[in-house]
Amino acid sequence: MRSKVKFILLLITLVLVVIGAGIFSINLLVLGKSTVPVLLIIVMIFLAGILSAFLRKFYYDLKAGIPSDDERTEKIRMYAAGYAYFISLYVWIILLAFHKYLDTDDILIIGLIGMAISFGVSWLLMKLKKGIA
Amino acid sequence: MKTRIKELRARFDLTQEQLAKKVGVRRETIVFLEKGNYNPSLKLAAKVARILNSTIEEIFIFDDSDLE
Repeated sequence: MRSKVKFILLLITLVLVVIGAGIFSINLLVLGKSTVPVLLIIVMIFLAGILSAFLRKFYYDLKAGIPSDDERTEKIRMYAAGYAYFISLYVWIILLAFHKYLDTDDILIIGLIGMAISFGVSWLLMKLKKGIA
Repeated sequence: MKTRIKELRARFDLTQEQLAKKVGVRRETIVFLEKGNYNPSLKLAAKVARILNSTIEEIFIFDDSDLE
């Protein structure tokens, strides 16, 4: 049941990411900005690709009755969140040091993307790490 | 840490996926456990031991260096 709810939530997230990024890109294109929308569309395609591959695996696991989470995946997520928290602090400190050269919006976007990337990288490293206790 | 999961699993003619389903974990967790690359909780170790009709000590073997 928990896995089904998670699957549906992920599916909704994927759809919202695609729709949101699409609308945002169209708005920026209408305003005459072309670099950011192209960059956003590339990021969106990358994100949607990862999410859809993940969803596909999730769907087959769900059909086979394999749980989406177990104690190992929960530990990995916990450790990754811990490491990502400290990396994010450094990201924000570095961004604060450069606040004179960047717009507030840019700082926020870079900071948030930095946080997401730090979590992704930490999660991947933890997933491959041997001997997690 | 060494484990005898692979050996016992073969004795019960279970695949990694079947064992994973019985224990209620993902197949990757069984792979990591078999290779001794994951230290399970006491609860998970007990579950695996019960399904493989053994004791925890028989399945999970710790060297002195593992306990240091």
